[in-house]
Amino acid sequence: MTHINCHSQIALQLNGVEQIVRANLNLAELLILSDLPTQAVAIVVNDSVVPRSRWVHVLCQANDNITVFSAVAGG
Amino acid sequence: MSYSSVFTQLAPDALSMKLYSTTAKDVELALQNPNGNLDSLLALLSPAAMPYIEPMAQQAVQLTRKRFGANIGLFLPLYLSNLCANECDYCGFSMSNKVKRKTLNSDELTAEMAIIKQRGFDSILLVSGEHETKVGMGYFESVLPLVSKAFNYVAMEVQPLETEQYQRLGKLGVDAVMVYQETYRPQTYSKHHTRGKKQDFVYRLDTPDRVAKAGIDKIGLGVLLGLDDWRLDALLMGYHLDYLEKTYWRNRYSISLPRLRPCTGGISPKVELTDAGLVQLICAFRLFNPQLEISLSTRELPSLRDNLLPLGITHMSAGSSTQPGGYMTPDSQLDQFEISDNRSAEQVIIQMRRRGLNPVWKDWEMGWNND
Amino acid sequence: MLTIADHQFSSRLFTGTGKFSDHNTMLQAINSSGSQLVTLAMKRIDLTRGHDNLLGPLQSMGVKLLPNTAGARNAKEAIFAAELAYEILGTKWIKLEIHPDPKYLMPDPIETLIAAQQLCEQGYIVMPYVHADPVLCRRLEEVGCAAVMPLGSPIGSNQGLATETFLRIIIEQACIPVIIDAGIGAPSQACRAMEMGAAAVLVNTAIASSAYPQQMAKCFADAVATGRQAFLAGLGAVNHHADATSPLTGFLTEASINSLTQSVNIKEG
Repeated sequence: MTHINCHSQIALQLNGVEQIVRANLNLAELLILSDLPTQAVAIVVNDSVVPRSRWVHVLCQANDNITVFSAVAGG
Repeated sequence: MSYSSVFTQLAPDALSMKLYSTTAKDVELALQNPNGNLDSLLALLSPAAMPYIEPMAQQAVQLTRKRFGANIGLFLPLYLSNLCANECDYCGFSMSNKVKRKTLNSDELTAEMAIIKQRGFDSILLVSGEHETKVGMGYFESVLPLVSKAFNYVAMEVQPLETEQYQRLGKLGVDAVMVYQETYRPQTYSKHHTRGKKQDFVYRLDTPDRVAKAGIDKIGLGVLLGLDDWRLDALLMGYHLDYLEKTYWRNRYSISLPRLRPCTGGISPKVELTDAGLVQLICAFRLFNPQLEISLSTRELPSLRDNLLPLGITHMSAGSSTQPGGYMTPDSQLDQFEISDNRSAEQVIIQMRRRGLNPVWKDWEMGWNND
Repeated sequence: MLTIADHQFSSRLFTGTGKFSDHNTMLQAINSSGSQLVTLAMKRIDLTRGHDNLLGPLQSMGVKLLPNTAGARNAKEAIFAAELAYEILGTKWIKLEIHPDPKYLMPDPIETLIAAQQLCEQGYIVMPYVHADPVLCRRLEEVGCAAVMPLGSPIGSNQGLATETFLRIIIEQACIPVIIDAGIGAPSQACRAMEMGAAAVLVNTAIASSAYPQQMAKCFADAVATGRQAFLAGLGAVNHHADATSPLTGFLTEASINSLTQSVNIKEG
C-alpha cells in the first residue's frame, strides 16, 4: 500500500540512487527534475521499457526501480 | 521463392555470346579460381577451354579423389512403368509411340528387385514414365514400402510432384529425387515437348525447390545434351545448381550428363557433342563444384565410360535395363533409350579396379536418419 | 557500394567507438577513417558524472549509428538491449553481441541464434557478431539477419585473421554481406580480409589504441579500399603445382575430338 506523507512525496530508485520526489510525477518530469537529457535515452521502470510516447502518462510510484539508459562509446 | 523467378533474370543470349567469345586468357584465369565461380564455369565450358582439357582433367581427378576417394557408387535403375501421358520426341516412352505399355505389379516388382539384389546392388533408382493417374501417388505409395525394405538407398525419377507429396514419399523411404530439365531453353523445350503436363517448363523448373522444401536428402539435375547448345544448357544447369546449393544448403546435389541417343522415333542432336566435349563437361563441373555427385549412365560405350570414370564420376549403373520387367525378361518390350554399355556389373567392376577405383554398393552417408 | 538492408555505404570500413582516450580523439579518428557506420554501446547513465553529448557530433558527421548489445549475457538480455537501443536511437538496426565469457569475450552461438530469430521476427535489422562458424552463419542468414559478423580473432587481441580458413568458407556460402569483426590489428590484415571477398570490416581496438589514432584510421581506410579493389580486379590463386602423371585425356583421339563416336546398331522398335 502506497504511503503518501503529508507533503505527497515518494521514494524511488533512479539509476541506483535513492530519490525522494513528489507524488504524481510523470517520467518526463522526472528526467527534467533530475537534470537528465530527454533525447536519446530510454527509461526502464521495474524491468520494462517504457516507450517515449508514454512518458507523460506513466506516473512514478513509490519504490519504483527506474533506470535511464543512454548510448555511450563502446565496442 | 523458387528458381523460376531467378531464372527469368538470367540473360541466356548474353551468356551464349560470352561463351563463344571466351579467350584462352579467360580460361587460364578460370582455372586458377574455378570453385563456385559461375564466370569460371562459363570459361571452362567454352570452346576456348578445349586445349586445356588435360590440365582440367588433372585438377578434376585431384579434387574428386580428395572428396570422394577412389569410390564409385553403384546403382541400378528399376523401371516401374513405361506408361506416359507426355509427348517427348526424344524418348522411347513418348505417348504416341506404339509400344507395349507395362506397369509392374507387386509380384513383378518383387522379382525384379530380387535379381537386382542378387547382383549385389543396394542402391536403386526407380523410374517411370509420367502418368499421373495410372502411375501416380497411389502406385508409388504402394510400391515404396517394398522397395525401401529391400534397398538401402532409394532414388526416384518420375513426374514432378508437389512438396507435400515429396514429403510423403520421403517418409516412405525416398532418399533422392531426380528431375531433369532436359533443356533450359524454353523455346527449344516447347519444340520437343508437345503434349502432356511436361509441357509446363516452369513447373518442372521449380520442382527441385519443392523437393528441397520436402527435406529430401539428394536432388538430381540434368540436361539432355543435344536438345539445344550443350555448352549453354550445361552452363544454365550450373546456374540452377548454384541457386539450389545456396538456398537449400542442407541437401546434396547430383548431376547427370546424358547425351542424346537414338531411340524409337528418335531425333538427332542440335549441336554436336563429341567425347572430348563430354570430358570437358565432367571436368568443368568438378572444378566448379568439388562436392557435386556426377552420375554416368549406360548411354555411352564401354571404353569411353571406363576412361571417363576416373575424371570426376561418383556414381554409375552397370548391367542396366531401361524397360519395365527388363531384368526378368530382357528384350521383351522397348527400351526408353538405347543402351550402349551392355556389360554386366562384374565386367564393369574389373575395369574400374584396373584404374584404381573402388565400387561401393552402399551409401554410408545416410547414417541413422532412415524412418 | 555496399548495401545492407535498405542502406548503402560507400565505405567498407566500419568503426567502433570504444577505448579511445577521449571523445575528441575518437571523433577525429572516425572522421579520418571515412567510416559511415559506427557502433555504440548502451549504458545506465551515471548520475554522479556529467552526461556526455556523444551523439550530437556523431550525428552531424552523418554516420549511421549501430547500437550493440554489449553487456548482454544471454538472448533475453540482448533482446532487452535491442529494445533499449530502439528507444534511445530510434533505429531498429542492432548489432547482436552476447558474450557471457568475460575473459575472451567469445560470443555465445546459441543465445545469439535465439535472439536473432526473435529480433528478426520483430522487424529488427540484425547483424550478429559470432565465431567464424559456417553453419551458424547460414542459420543466422536463414532466420533473416541482414549481415553476419564473424570474428577474425578474439576482441581486442589484434591477432588478425586467425579464422581465415573458415572466413573463406563463410564468404563463399553467404548470400548476405559478411563483415569481419574483431581482432583485426593492422591495416594489412584489413586489406587481406577485403582481398578474401569480405563485404566490410569492423575495426575498433587497433585504431583506438594506436599512438596516433587519426593517422591509423586513415591507414585502415586506405587498406580497406585497396583490398576491395584487389578483390574486384581478380587475384590470381596461389599455384599448387600439380604432379604430372600420365595423361588422362590421351584416349581422346584426334578423330574423336572432331566427330561423334559411332553408335552401335540401332534397335528396331
